[in-house]
Amino acid sequence: MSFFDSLHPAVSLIFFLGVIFCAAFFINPVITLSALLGGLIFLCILKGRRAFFKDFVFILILILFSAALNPLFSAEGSTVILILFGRPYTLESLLYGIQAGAMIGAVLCWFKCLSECFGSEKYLYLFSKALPKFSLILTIVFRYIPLIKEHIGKLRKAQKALGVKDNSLKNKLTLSMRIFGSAVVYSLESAVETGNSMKARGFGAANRTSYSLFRFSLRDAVFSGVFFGLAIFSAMGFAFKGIEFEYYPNLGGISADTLSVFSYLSFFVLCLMPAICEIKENLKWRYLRLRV
Amino acid sequence: MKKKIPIYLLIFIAAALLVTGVFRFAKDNYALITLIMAVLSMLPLFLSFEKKKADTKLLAVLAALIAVSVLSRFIFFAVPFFKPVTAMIIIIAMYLGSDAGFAAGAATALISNFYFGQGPWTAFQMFSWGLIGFAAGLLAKRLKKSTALLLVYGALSGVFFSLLSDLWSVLWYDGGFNLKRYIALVTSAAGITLTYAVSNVVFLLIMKNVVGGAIERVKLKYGIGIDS
Repeated sequence: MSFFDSLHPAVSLIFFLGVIFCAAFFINPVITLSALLGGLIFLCILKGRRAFFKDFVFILILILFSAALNPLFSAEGSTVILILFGRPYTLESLLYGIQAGAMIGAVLCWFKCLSECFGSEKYLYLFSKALPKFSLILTIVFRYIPLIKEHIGKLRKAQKALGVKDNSLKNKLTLSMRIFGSAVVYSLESAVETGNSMKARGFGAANRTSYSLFRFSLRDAVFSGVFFGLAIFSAMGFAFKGIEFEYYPNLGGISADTLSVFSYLSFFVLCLMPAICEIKENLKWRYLRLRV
Repeated sequence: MKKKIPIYLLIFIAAALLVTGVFRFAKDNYALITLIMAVLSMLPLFLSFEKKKADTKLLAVLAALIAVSVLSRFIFFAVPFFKPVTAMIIIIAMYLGSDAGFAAGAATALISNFYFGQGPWTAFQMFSWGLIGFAAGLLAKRLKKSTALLLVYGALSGVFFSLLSDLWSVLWYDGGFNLKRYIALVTSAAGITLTYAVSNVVFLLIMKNVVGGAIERVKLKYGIGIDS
């Protein structure tokens, strides 16, 4: 269980959505690189080095492809490097390709982290108040999926035991359709039973309550305090100094006055927050074990 | 009348956001505006689904059908883009109505992405499949009557699904609309679009009677949808 897993769902979802929003929609190399770096380190901690390596290679290839292909589609930019198929291949488009690839990579990376430490039970907890009926359906679906899967396995075995052949493509398709149809009928019939039982137990008579383990604790308060502080600092710089970085026709500069530097730094630290928290937690654990 | 007020309000909010978004905050951030519009346009549909009085049997049957359509995305995982999901959603919508169709589309996208991976595309899949289901529910009577129309609807929704996801990819990548890239993407994805359309037609043909018949039978057998 990671530190982020144990945070209150509302806190961690706001954090994730905030970082993903900035990573996805601010076209600025400093923002994108901070988000990418923070996301990569966090993902490495969450998934372990080996599983992380695959994702890392994928993101690297994505950035390279994006960089190489972008100039073919966009001839904007003023510094021509070479002429390809009679069209200019510009430095600015190449750099924008890297920027866009890194942006997509960062967003993918953070979404992967989100799925690692934000299971479906947390979504259900958060949305059961706003959309009670929809989240009830989601809950039932999550229960039905393994049930129906198991039933399909049984049907397949039964057909096999009956000696139904699945050697040719045609036989295979007929067999799958028969199993599928039978699974549909079975799941509908058992759903009716669920529905009857829900009604018998007084569904709709009062608001549904739900069991949840989540409490807003001190560490949630500290985490969200630091997070909102950093977010306000970076937002101030973004609002007053502007965030847009020009790629076309000429590369723009990054403002380096105190406020901008301060806000970029805050955003950088914000992106590293999960990594810092996880490492701190690991060290603490190791230290406690050493004392034993 | 009472039900219509929040819908108008939401449309107003959406329009206001679009206008302020275009002219002020995000001058050319069309990707962001499109995303906000997609989320906002789902809200009234969610609310109308929440407001309808719940028959527990109908809810449970809908959940079972959604589970089947999520699983159907798994069963064919080896064949890329050839999936029965859209066909399932259209059939659910035809037999259980437009609200259920919308919920089925949105829920299938959301839940199956817990297994296939969440991303910015989740919102657009929820939107596209939700709308496909909602519209199929509105057209239910005609779709049931004419198989040809149903197949055309299935093919078109495959094309719609593909074009919309390409559109957003381009908007996001360029921060604006780049026609050249859109055309390149649409032509290079033509095979995928075609696969979507063909798979919808094929699965609608196969499953129309299997799944549709099963729903009809359960509705008749247990009196679902009839107020008791």
